Amino acid sequence: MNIWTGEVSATRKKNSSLSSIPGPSREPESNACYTVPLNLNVALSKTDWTRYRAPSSWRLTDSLEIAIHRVPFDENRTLIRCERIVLRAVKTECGEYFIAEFEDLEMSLWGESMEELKDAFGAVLAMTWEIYAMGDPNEMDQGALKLRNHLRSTYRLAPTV
Amino acid sequence: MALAKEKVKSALKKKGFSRNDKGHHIYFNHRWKRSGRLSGIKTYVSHGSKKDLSDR
Repeated sequence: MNIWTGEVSATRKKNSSLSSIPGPSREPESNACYTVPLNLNVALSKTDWTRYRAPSSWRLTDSLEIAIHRVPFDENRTLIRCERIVLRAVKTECGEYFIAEFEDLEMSLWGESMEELKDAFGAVLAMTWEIYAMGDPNEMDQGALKLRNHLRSTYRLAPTV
Repeated sequence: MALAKEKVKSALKKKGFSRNDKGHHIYFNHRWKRSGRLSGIKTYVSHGSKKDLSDR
């Protein structure tokens, strides 16, 4: 049961299960985004969603976004994601925490404010990069190597300008 | 169910997570006990708050 009645953006794809959901009156161009009410009783495949997945057990009430594609790594270097991304965060029902999840980076983040959440994303990404992307691949098993390769194909470390 | 932060940190260590303190957070990266290789499993807890860890 999905109890979140807010809206999230999803990418419409041809022949996907989203095609059965009422969309905008005009046919969107390829990869155009529109909002889909989450409380519709329609099965959505994983690929229909953006990278953020809202676990229904968290009883979410609100959605918020922070654009994050440049993350400071140290004083002189910045991690830059190949494509611009948005951190989709939600406030818990109790209102105490903001939480976000990135499936592709295997990150579950939380913070007491959006600023704290943004800092957590940067800190966790920098630490993950240091351990996995910069680490010795001979000291990694398949799961760690997969994470390493994904990190290295998604981000690049560049001098801060 | 909320868990005491110290208990969680202790349990992670027993399960093979190596601890790395940096900035506002404590990071834990899992290594297999026999080979010592990283498994890719990781987590973090906050330095700052003394609250128990929520299950959310």
